[in-house]
Parts: sequence; C-alpha cells; structure tokens
Amino acid sequence: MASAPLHFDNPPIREAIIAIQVHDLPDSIIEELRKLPQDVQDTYPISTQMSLSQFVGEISPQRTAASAHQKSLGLQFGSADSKQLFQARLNGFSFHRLAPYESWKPFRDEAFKLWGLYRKFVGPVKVVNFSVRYVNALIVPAPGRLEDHLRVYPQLPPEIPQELRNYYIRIDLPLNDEGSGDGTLTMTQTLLPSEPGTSSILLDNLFMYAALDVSDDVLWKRIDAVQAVKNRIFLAALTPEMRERIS
Amino acid sequence: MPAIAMSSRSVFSGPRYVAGAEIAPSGPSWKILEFFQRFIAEAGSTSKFLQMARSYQELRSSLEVCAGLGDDWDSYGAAKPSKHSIEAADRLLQRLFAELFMPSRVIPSAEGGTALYFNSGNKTAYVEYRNSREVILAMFDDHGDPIIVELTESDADESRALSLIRSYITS
Repeated sequence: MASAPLHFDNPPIREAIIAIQVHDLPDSIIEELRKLPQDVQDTYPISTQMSLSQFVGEISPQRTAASAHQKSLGLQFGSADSKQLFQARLNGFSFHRLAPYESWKPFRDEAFKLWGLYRKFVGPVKVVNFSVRYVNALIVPAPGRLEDHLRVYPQLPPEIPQELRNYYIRIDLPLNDEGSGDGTLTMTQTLLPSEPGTSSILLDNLFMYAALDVSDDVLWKRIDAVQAVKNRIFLAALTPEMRERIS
Repeated sequence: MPAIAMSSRSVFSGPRYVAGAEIAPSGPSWKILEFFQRFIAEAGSTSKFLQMARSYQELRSSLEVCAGLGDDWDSYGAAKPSKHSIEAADRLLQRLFAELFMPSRVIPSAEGGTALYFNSGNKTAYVEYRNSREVILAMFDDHGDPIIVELTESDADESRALSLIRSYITS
C-alpha cells in the first residue's frame, strides 16, 4: 500500500535500515555468499568479512577450562561513498542508507533488489521477522525545553531539578496496522554528541514485525505498508515547531 | 517541564588544556560519557550511525588526551601539540562526523602537532596539523611511494583532502 511521501528540506534522518532475519542457514552457505561480490562490484566495491567470536571460560572446583571459537557470519558490502551498505549473513540480511536519505521508494527498491540477490545466492530461507528502522538526530538550540520539540518526553515533577544533562527513554509499544500487521515499535531517545549552543536529540524508531515463514511477496507487501506507519509515528512524535524547523 | 541543559565542551569532550601528561575525565561529564557509551553499546550493534557516534566520542576523548600532553611526551623530544593544532583537528573531526566519514585514530605527531588517521586494509591516510601551521596530507600503502600533499586550513583544502582520502581509501 503506497503512502504519500513525506518530505522535509532538512531531514533529520541519519540512517534508515530494512532488516530481515531468517532461520540460521548452514555454515556451508558462507561459500555461496563469498561469490556475491562479483555481482555487486560496481555499486558496492568495499566488502568485509563478518565473523562471530566466542570466548568461554569455566572455573569450577573440578576443572578450569577456556576455549575460543570463531565462525564466519557473512559479508558486508559498502558503496564507494560509504553512504549505502548491506549485510548478507547466515542469519539474515540488512540494508542501510546513511544520510543524505532521499525518500522511501529508492531506499525500499534498493533493499528489495539486494534481497533478491541475497536469495539468489543462499537459496531457500525461512523468514523469522523483519524490521524498518529510522535513526533521526534532531538538532535544536540549547538550552531549551524538550516539550518545544517533542511530544514524547520524560515528565518530571516540579519538585526535582528540571535541567537534563542527558536522558534515555526507550518505550516498546504494540502496533496493529492494516497491511503491516502486528508488530512492536521501539522508540529510543537520548542526547547525542553536539556542538556548543545546540543539542542533538536521538529519535530512533524501530518497527519490528514477526513474519514466520512468509513468502517474499507477502513480506514485501508488509514492508511497504510500514511506510505509512513510520510516517505517522514520526510526525506524531514532533511538535509543530519541530516540524517547522526541519521543513 | 524538563529542559535540556546548555551543551558545553565539558560535556562533549572538547579540547581542554591541563598540565600533566594525561587528562582523567572526572565528574558529571565522565558519567555522561559512560552513560552514552553504555547506551551505544546496546543500540549501536546494528546502526552504523550510532557506531559512528560512539567512534566520534572516543576520538574526541583522544583529542583531549593530545591536548593534555606536555613537551617530550614521546621521550624523544617531541613538542606538545599546540592549541591551534588541537582546534584545527577538532574542527575537521566535527566536519567528518557531520559527513559520516570517521577516521580511525587521532594521535599526537612526533613532528609537533595533531594527526587524524584513516585506515582501510593495507591503505593508510592521515591529515596532520603541525604546530608550525603546516597541514600535510599523506597517503600510502605497503607497496608504492607515499603521496604527500601540502594543504592549508581553508574549507576548500579541507574538502579537497576529504575527497582525496575517500577516493584513495575506497579505491
């Protein structure tokens, strides 16, 4: 279901991610993933290996033992300007677009194309879940009042100090929208590094949906439906002043 | 209603000038840094932007350490990085974070000054702000001769340096 595109002249998006988790694939598939660079050399020339390291130490009256284990997890591919990258892993796929972010369609289309490539190399997969994530940094003057910028913020009783040096809130909320289905929104806020006279407020919206064994067709219809949900939530979290600031 | 405190250098790791060899952050600013790092460790595992934000914090801390060095910090007679070289490196670091292109390290220069290093595979590039106000860009790998470019601190030269580093590192 297509949604009206949301456009701001000063978009606060620092990163957008579409991620699809799959049931763990056999380790042998890593050899197939290693053939993937030849198909993306032009657009994603930088490839790096991803591995998982595990160290286990055991101390008990009977024995003391330590072991280390490392296994290949997949590959990460980056564009020449490092603004786009994707990961092809044994446990899933993710596509990342760093700022400047243009709009949903090219972002989604690129993720869709790369997912198809991933599927071509790894063969059949069982999807577990998918997520769409928007990491925003809202630059505002400081000092200032949070309520001038956000409609989701910590409430403090007047008896305690009102000046925040930093804060961290994370809220998990149920989602149940037509098209995208049942899911969870995890909204995270904190203050990021910023320059004097300004504050940079992280507004990190993660939309996560269970999608057990769904077909590719259903999967992408549901991902497409998240566009309207993420736009609605993002706009709802901002005050009119903040919307004006990024317009 | 909660208000955001005035952001300040003490909170987000700007250069400070402290006698002695090393700055030991203390008090609220360090606690905030710990808080931030803890948060980033949780959330940054999948977001490249948040990984860069953590890297930026760490590099600003390295710059603080450079700012706190004294003369002969390397025991071979190197001059301490000048205030000017620290500020120039700080400006470039801020710009790099804004452009989401992070260096690997910030270190003092044995020539006297401050340098930002970029590493990728066997390729290395660095921009060095010398106490003498010279700005040097060097790019090298395991094989060929190093490429050395003399620059100024102008915006145009900074842009040129970043463009050269990007294309060298990613080629």
